[in-house]
Amino acid sequence: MFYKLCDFYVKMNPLHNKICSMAEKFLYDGAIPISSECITLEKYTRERLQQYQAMKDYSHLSLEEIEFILLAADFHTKILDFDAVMLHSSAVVHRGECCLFSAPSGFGKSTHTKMWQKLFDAEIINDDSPVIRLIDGKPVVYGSPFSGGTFISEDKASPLKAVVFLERARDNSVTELNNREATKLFLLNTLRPTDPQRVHRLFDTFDTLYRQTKFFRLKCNTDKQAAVLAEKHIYKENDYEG
Amino acid sequence: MKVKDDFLLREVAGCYVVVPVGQNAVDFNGIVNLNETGAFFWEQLQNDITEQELLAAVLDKYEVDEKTAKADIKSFIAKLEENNLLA
Repeated sequence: MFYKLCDFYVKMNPLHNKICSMAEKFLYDGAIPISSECITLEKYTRERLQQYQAMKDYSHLSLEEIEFILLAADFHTKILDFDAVMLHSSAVVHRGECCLFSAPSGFGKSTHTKMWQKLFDAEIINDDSPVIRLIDGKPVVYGSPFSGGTFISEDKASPLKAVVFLERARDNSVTELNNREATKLFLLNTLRPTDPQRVHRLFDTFDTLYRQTKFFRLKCNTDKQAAVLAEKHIYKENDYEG
Repeated sequence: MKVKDDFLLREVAGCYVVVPVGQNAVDFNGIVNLNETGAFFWEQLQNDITEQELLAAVLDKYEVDEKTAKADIKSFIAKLEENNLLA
């Protein structure tokens, strides 16, 4: 089966129907243009998934969940060859541009972006692992079916506006990050490949997107004022454009 | 003396980082931030060299007196040891 994920032609044949149905809106049955690159994902047999299940890190998961995790990891690794990178974050589109709110899982990324939905009528296009692609050298955020537990993911793309790393705090504050902090936090919140060649590709992509993107740290509580403050900081230059 | 294999030094976004690769990346999820001098030290230490050779390389590259250079090298190596980064 072919899927069109993040504008990539992706061949995958999942063993589990639920994964197929989740990816259904990304299904592609047109012709694949000859010149286009195609990403083929690993095919996992039941036996192989059971081998994973026997491992400590996977023992609490169902075979279906394991297959989903492995396919997602395979996809997020292979896209690195094509100027693309995944960031663990919730992607929200506001005023035609996308902000990525990143934090370790369980932090409450979605809680924050849901406030954007409510307050600014913004749209969440991926709730866990959106993909940033360089299109003509410009960073563009894509939804994909590989979106953690909540499965909020839309087949949509939007130019990247800012990357915001969330930190829990009593009071809300926003600071712009320097290159060291931004690099470190980005690397800690993406899937790092083990193959040196792909590590270089990841760095190449990050380097290009870093130069065009603002990076912030948002210390926040769960009050809606956190979103109001963040929005004001991220979109402030618009005030001067009239 | 040399740093462990399976680490990759890279300049990115105007800073220097060292990340684990290969099997290392599975066991060690951190990243190391280095300044320019640190990156130079690391580069030199990717080959097996003595502290004396490293000192010579530093004095050759930077305008620095021997005493300061020695102290810098010592503290850098201590940091590597602390973080278990020496082979």
